[in-house]
Amino acid sequence: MKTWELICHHTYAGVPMLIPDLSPSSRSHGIGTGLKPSDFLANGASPGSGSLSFSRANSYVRIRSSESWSPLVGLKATVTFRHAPRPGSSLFTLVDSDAFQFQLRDDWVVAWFRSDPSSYLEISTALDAVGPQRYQAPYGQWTTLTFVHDGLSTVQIFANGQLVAQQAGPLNPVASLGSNGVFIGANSSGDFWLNGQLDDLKIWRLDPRRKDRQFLNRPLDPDDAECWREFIEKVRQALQADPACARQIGSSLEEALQRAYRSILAKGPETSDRFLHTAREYQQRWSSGNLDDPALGRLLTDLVAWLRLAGVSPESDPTIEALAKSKCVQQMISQLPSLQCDPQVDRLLAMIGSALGSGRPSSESVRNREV
Amino acid sequence: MARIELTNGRTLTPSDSGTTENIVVPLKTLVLVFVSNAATANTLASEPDITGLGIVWSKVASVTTGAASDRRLTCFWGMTVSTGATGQITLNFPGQNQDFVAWSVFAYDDIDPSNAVAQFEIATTSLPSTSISVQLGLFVNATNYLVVGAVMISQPFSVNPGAGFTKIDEVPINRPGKDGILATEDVRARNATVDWSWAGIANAAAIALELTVFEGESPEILSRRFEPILFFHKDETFFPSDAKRYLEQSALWRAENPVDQKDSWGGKGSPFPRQPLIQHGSIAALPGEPGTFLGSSPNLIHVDGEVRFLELDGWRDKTNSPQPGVTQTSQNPYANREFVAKAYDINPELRDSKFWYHSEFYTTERLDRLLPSGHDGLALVGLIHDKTRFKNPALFCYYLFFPAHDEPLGAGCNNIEAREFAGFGGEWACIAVLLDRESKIDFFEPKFIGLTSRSPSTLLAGGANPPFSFLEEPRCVMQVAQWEKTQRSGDHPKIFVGKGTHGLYIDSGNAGFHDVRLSGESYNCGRLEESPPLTEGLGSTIFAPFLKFVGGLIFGLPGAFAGLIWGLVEWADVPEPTNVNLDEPLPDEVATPGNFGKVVHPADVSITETGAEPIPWKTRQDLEIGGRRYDFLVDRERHVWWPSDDKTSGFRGRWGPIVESDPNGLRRGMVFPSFHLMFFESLAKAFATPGFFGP
Repeated sequence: MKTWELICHHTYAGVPMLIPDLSPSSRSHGIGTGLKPSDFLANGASPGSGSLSFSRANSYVRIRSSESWSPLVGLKATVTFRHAPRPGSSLFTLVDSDAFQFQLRDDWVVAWFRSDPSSYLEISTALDAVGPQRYQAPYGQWTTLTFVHDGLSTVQIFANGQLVAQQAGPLNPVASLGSNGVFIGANSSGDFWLNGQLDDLKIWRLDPRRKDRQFLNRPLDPDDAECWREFIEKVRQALQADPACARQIGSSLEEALQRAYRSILAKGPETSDRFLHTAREYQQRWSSGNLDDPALGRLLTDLVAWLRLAGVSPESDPTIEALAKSKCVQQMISQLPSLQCDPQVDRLLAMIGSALGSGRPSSESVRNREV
Repeated sequence: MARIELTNGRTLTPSDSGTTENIVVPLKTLVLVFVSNAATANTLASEPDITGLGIVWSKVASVTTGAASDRRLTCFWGMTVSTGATGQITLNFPGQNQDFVAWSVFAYDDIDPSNAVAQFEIATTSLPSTSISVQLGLFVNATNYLVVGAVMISQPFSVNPGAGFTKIDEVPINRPGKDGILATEDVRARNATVDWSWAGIANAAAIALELTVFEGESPEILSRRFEPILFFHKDETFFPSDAKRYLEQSALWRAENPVDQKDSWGGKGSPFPRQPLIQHGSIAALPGEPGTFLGSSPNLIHVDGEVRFLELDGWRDKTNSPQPGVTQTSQNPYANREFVAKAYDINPELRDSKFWYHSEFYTTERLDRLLPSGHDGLALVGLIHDKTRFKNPALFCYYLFFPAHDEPLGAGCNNIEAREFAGFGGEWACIAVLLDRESKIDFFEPKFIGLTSRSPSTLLAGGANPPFSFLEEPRCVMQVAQWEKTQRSGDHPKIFVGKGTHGLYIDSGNAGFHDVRLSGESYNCGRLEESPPLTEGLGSTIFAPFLKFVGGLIFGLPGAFAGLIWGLVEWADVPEPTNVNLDEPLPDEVATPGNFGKVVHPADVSITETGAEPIPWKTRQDLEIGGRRYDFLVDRERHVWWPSDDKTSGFRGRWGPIVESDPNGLRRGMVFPSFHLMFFESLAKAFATPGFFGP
């Protein structure tokens, strides 16, 4: 299961003025603006690899915004380039957008990310260097820079494979791309261009399907699989019938999860390590079909207790409470079958409920109460 | 046919020569020069000598008019043979000054050099007149004619071209005592009378020519020339068939969103059993043929939220029982491919429609028109304008219609969800051949081939990471290869077909799939499938936590919090678990020596492969059966079952049944994809992949 999804790959080789996106989804073709066929060079970092020269104002490659760029959450980019000094300017643009920017500023490498609601993060080899040597991009040499924002806790810059800058701590996710798209080789107003050549550009995002895949990655017997298939189908139908409700639930739930997760990370390494340990154990058991392992119950109980001690109380999240009581959710729930047909999940929910103390009763106690 | 207007002009001072401005003539282009001159001494005007452009000039005709025959009209032709030409044309009149020399010079890029001027005639007026006409003889060429004419008149009256003709040049000669006009015209029609008229009376002389347009290769000839040899696996069930006959036997249904729920078929909310728009066997594909015309309203509606689909033989439920209709109690999750296979054995109309392809020719001009619109910002027209790679590119597409597609999941899964995982009715595949020629009077040479398959594979490109493209259907991708990499018998490429999936390959052996999943993943032998994002704002990132939240919420508020914790422990991005329960797709089992079955081949090709069962293609043009007509050449204007070039009309629906519970669209019939765009996008990507076509 892949964590990153390649959403853009330009080689700047082939037919001049034609910049196809080689990523699987092919939604990020480049549109040349202010470029001439002679700007497309046969050679780049290696013979025949092709490259594109950005040597004057208002010449850049633009990528239209598409569903590949929403959501982003985490972002990784690798760019191979070389540049030359330009009198009167110390700013060289590699990639520009309203969600992220990669630049050379006084030859320091700088990455900038925007989050919603508006907040910004900037990392540079000048201020966030790893080790005593601060990295500056050399003139005239082919260089590969990699920028990574993992969406949660780490931002890094690599130069030719070596880590040269890093920031760690709870991070806001990278915002989705706005309607102006991505500008390559110059900034969006065209006045700070690379003054050099790009050979290759790859951009990945955190694969938005990774959670679904983790979720589906569980061995099931045919009856349990049918139980889930039916449940998922009913949820799909309910969501399709009420898209406004679907959006409300989706955004509220994501907000609650992000808030809870970031508050755990903000409590320091001990809390986050304990949480991540439980998550690993859970995911390993999930993928091996061993959900009702009592050891998992103990881990969850310990985690909830630890979180409470650390001041994190997911069970009192106001968003979840409001959501659970909302009319649209209640209406949706009334149309769904129960998950009691999956005994392991039934027991897992019971274990979590038990860990929470006031948690949901098991199906057995529900039946008893009904009686 | 393209006329190239090169120059016109005149000299108005007495001189024994005239020289045109600099002109540029492309390679293999026929140049026509019409010259009008008048001798200064009212004596017989001399014929001009012509030089220039390095062309060997031939005189077609020369004719005089006026009392002393002091005015003359002459026609020359010549051709650029091995290179294009740049320069001037000089017209000399040795020993005789002319009051004026006027010329009209133009060219054509597709004239057959072996018989460029098929015939010519001349005419003069015996008395000053208001018109002149030249009568050509019987046309030498059956269809490939081009009629050109020139007139010289002795007064400066504006000249009207003859009916149907297009004026090319009109060169006025305003010189006291020697006024006049030189005018030229042409028409690509069977106009044997070449004429002009003017307001007033004047002497006139005219020359008319029939030129021979290079016929080249018609779409039918090209289709036969590159007709593929298809090697099928011995266990193959479905073969390429005539789509029109499939259409005529099918029912046409209306579907609304969400399309994979049976309540959306045949009128949402209307009582069961649901009815199609047109019942089985009652579709008329052409006006005047038996049945309800497909092109009449509302059969072709294709809008956001409402589409059409064809259904030949119903559905099957999860117990594998046939479900012929859409009733209150029916379950319709799978197309009944078994019945489709039987229909192609039993029904004579369908049985006789097998081993048929459809083909379509995209000329350079049509590509130029279609590709500029590009898609997603990729201006593919740049590819055909890249003169370092192509001169006069054209695309020839073979469309293969398979009544059904089989694509089960891998070994170890024998449940119906696995057997039916990506099977569907109504599949399209394509073999595209990119052709090029030095000029419009050369024959085409194949350069690249494009083949469709269900997923990018390494078999096509010899192990390199293959570039690929897809458009309307992510389950159908196209990849390209150099023509020289194909195995061939003459110009016929040998194509090896994947069993059931009908993936097309230039080599035999099992296809190794590239690690790209375009159509959604599945787990637990197809029982659980990844779902695409359901609505805007509820991306797939949140779908799994969402399921947990609502799963818990069923037990009330405490359950919702339990669901949140449950979602939280899965929210963390931790190292991948060691257990992966992802279903692996089966590689394509491609026809290979030892398992060859039917081999569909051009009639003039012998099949010698051991074990092969040769069957010649049955495609024909103008075939009539029972008052219906069948063609294999695609005509998007007359044949409404093809989408129009701009995709705003024609049948844009699905060629097989839509089914229930199909979140990733793997089990519904295909739409007809824009294969030509897929080809050029794939080619652009291949060029952009350093080393893909070698150093």
